[in-house]
Amino acid sequence: MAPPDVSPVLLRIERIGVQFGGIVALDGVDLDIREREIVGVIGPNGAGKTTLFNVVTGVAKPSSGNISLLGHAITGLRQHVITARGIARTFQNIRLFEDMTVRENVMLGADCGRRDGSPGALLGLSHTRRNEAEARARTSEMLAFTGLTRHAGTLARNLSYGDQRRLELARALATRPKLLLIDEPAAGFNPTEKQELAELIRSVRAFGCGVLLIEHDINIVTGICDRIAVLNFGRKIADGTPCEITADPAVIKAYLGTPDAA
Amino acid sequence: MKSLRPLAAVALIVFLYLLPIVHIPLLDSEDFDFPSLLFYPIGIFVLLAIGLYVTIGLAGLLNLGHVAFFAVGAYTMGLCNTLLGWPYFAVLPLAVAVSMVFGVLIAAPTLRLRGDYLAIATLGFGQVIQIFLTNAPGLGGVRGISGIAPPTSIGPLVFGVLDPVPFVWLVLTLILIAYFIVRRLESTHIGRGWNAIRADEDVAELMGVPTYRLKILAFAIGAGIAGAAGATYATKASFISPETFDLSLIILLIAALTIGGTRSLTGAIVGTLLVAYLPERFREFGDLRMLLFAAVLVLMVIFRPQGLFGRRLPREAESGSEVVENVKGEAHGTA
Repeated sequence: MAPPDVSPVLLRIERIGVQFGGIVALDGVDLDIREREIVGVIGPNGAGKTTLFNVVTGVAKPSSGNISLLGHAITGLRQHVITARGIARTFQNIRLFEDMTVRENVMLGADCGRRDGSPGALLGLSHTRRNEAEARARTSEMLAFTGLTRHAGTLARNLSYGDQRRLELARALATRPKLLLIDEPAAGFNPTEKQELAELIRSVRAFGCGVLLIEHDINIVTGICDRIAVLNFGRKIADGTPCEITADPAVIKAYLGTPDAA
Repeated sequence: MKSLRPLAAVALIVFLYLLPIVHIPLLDSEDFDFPSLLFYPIGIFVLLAIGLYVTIGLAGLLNLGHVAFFAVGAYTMGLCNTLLGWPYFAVLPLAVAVSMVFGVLIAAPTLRLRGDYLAIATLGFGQVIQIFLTNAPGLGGVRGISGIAPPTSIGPLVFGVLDPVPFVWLVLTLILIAYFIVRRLESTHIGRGWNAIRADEDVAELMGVPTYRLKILAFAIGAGIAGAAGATYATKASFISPETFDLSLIILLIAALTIGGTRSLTGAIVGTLLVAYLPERFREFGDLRMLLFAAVLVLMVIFRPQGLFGRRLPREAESGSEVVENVKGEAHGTA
């Protein structure tokens, strides 16, 4: 199941530090994600998980350290460039384009990295027509993959909560990511929905992309992740297979506290 | 149904070109010369509104400096014609280009601002241009530039001082070109990108939309269309002065967009037609018409904030399934 360690490193996070004023959100975090690997990030609230996502996607600027995708540095690049290079994300608090239809939302993702500009659009040049057709095909594919095809014409705001989460996933996948960052996808789901979601995330690998997953539900994380990294107070305190992590004393301490502190 | 649409479009275009030469009883009035009115304010305002629709309606950038680009186009025409003797059709592309350059120059620094701040910055730019035109040497000060020549004749089409009809056809042609350009961009990834920026700029950027570049493009296109309007206005009026490019014009245009619906090109055009035409038509009511106009505007904002042709505004849709159904129905109605 787990890809062998010999598969090339997809994303390399090296000694990343992020500070907001005097607060250290991340402190020298190292993390490697290999191609097609599903890596979970867990940790108590405020541990720096979402900051890690923000720094990888270029939203937050690191005060130290480097991030590279397939060997190319991406630190400091503009966000849309990072997305075009192959890193897409979903949001913890759903952030869809609510007044666009489901199809339009996914189309927007599929437009990612297009190089044809306004002249092509204006004159209906062949490469623009080809790109539009490709974006439409990609969109249909993603809608089918996430089971949203029958809602294609619905406004995103009118979708059920679960379908909105799926749409976030479809939109991010439409950008043809090499690495997909998924931020707490199962929040507010019942056990059946969680199971379906876990299956969906596992099958994302079929598109050849790796996954970095933030999730509080430990069953989902241990169930689908090849590897888990644990953050606490901005530091990585453990990194290993689900079995190793659940047995790690440092992790247990971070989550449950030390006996004498309780 | 679909096959009828091109036919209907052709019929509409023919009708529009006939409009200045056929006499339509109710539209006409003894108070004014209808073809002249069709050129200014109606035609010029519609052209300006199409430009403004790109920045405000599509990209969601509250651009209050639009009239400045109108002025830049007009003064480019005025200067090139009176000083260099260049004819209208030679200056027109130049006026568009110069306005676009101004658009980019203004957009590049100010587009780092958002919402209210952008509105204030662009408003300031509009004022600066007007003051510059009044005070800069060589631009005629408050007296402006006069003696701007009409376009050279095209075959039997003579652009004279007395006959406004060829000018109406000229501005109508420009409107159709601008309409085509905007519709075209709207229907591709450029339009989707603008929509996304308007909805949530941060997420748009994260989904791979080059937000900064697209915002500049929106400004440049809006400015270019306004520049064309300016050059065309100048060649017909033959006289331009800073007074023409007053702040009240941008307020009127935004009112027009609000009435029509900022999120629909058809709405923007229809709203502008109403705002440009109705006050002239009801001139007999004197100042009362402005009061009526204001009342209509207030009522619109209260009862139909999305405008005549707009999609329902986001905030309202949250309460009740009845409203939600409405939204579904309207979602594709604007296309």
